[in-house]
Amino acid sequence: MRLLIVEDEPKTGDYLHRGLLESGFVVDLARTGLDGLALAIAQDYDLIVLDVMLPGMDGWSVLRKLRERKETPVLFLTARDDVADRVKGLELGADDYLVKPFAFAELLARIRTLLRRGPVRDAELIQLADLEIDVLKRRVVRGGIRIDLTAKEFALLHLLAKRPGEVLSRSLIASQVWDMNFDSDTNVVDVAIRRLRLKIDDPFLTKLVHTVRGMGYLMEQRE
Amino acid sequence: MSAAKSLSITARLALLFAAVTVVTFAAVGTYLYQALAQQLERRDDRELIGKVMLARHLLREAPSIGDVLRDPHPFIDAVFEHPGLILRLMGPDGRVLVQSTPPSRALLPLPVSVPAERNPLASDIGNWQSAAGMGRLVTATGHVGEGMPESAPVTIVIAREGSNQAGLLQEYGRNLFLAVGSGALLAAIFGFLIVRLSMRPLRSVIGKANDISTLRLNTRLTVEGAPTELRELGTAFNAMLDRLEDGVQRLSRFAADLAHDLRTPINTLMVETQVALARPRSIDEYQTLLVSNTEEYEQLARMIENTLFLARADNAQLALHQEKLSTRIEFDRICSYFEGPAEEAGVSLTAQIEDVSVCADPILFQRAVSNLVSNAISHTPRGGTVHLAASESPQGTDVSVDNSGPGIAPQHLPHIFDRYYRADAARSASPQSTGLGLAIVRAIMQLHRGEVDVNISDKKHTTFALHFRC
Repeated sequence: MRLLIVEDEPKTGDYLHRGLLESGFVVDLARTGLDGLALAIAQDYDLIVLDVMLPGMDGWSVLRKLRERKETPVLFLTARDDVADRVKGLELGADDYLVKPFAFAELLARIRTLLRRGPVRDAELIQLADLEIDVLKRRVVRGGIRIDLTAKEFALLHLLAKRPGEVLSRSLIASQVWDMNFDSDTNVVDVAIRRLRLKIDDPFLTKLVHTVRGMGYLMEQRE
Repeated sequence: MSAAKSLSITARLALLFAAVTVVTFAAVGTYLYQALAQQLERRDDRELIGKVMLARHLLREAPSIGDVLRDPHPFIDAVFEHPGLILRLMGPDGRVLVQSTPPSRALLPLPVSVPAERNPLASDIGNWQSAAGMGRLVTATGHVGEGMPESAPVTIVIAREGSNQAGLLQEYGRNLFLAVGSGALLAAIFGFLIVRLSMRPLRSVIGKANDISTLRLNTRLTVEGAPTELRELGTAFNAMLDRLEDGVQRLSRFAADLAHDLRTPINTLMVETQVALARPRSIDEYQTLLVSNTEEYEQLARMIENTLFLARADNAQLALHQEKLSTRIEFDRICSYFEGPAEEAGVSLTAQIEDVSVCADPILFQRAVSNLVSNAISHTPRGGTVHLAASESPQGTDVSVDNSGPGIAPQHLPHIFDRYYRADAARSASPQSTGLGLAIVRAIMQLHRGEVDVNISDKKHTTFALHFRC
């Protein structure tokens, strides 16, 4: 997957570049709007991460010019989260936006969602190591032992398991599992993860739910 | 239009004064003019009638028509001293017996002659077209030598040329016009001066208003001694200044609080990082530092988000998407969200089962109730309870979050909804709290035109109640 980052702030640009490279993407970085637009038109990217405040040609103009030629998905980054600003971006043809400051896990999740866009069907049966999840019957079995989960615990497990290897931020989890759509300053997600681990990880040797410190949680089989 | 709008009140009032004066003077003048004209005409008519009576009397005393012809002087004398008056006597055969000054034009049309048996009235007088304008004219029958052998009827014609009173009236009209004009001018000038004088207190208001800036908001207008209307304005103005001063003070306090609250996490970040960099450390230590830093960053980001939320709520910039919500569904969601933390804190979290509908923005409702529940759980001692309830009343819906616990000390009660206020100094060390939770609850309720209040019962139960209207 090839990504283009258009970001003028040197530190932010470098870290986004590095972070996305390390997450397995092929990443190009442009420092100005004009460079970004030229690259976006010359190359075929799967997604463009576009900062709005750029010297010379701002993100809006880049987006407008790009949309005359191409339909590459665009995720824009903005430090101003006025409703008008967001609406403007989406009207110009951006596919999603993220307000600064954002969590890196959140950016990754948004990028993956945009790249996955299209008819996605959730698997009915998810298998991860010796863990089996029957989504339709809401049954969880690990190592042949049936595990009873509450509805929310199941929703949390399902969310993590269907996106293995992907770090999910706390706010994303709160929104997806409990439909709580504001950044709350509680430790609800940590508590819920702790309780989920108690049931599906603690009795077993291999751990599947992992904490990525400072970012969130992910599920994968590690050697 | 714009020129009329930009006219000063003084000029506008002076002009209005002048206009009112012109209209009033003109109306009164016209009335007086008409009255004078009528009076003049009545007087003239009485004179005509008087002359008819005199002519009849003179005729009666003359023995015969021949005597009248011989000595017409008494008749002529009757109108001699009256310029414009004309007398004509005509015999039974229509022959002119006596004629004073000849009329300027033919005396036409002659009105019907008043019979000798009665006196002429004003209604018997007709108009005729003289050279100088409309004249008046009357004819009556008189008898020469009444009771004498040669007695005969004589037609008396008395007429008046139109000129003399028309001239009088014209002059009167001219004077009137001059009077109206100069009166209006005077009224405009006096009006201007008077208005200017009465506007002086207003000018002092302007002076004071120019004097006021955010740095000098304590200036107030002196209301005593001002005219009633201006006193009202002054009082309203002062009340506005009170509100502004309050708002500005709150804003600067808010900015100061924000800066102060930013200092703590930034200080932690700085010192922690500098200490870590002072000498080489293990990878583990670096990782621990970065994680700790991330927590501080997240805290900062949350503070910024919450502060922005409050700023927007204050300016009513947040769009409210009100819907009919079911408290049962919302309570279920919130309870399931806080189930974990409540259990870990050893607190039983329950909600009223009976469903009540409430009209609110779904996300803001969640946020307000969640903030209260989160606070309640952290302030309830192990073994305590937190209960959500809702009830409907004609005034709206009340949603309450009740928890057992030590309650809130009375000295903190007035401040708990203030931004960055923390009742428990030790608890401020809790890394997740921004000190804005209850301020946000209050802001959300204000957006909904509702209220939030807190009540502490004797049994040490703390109840936060949200009053939603509708």
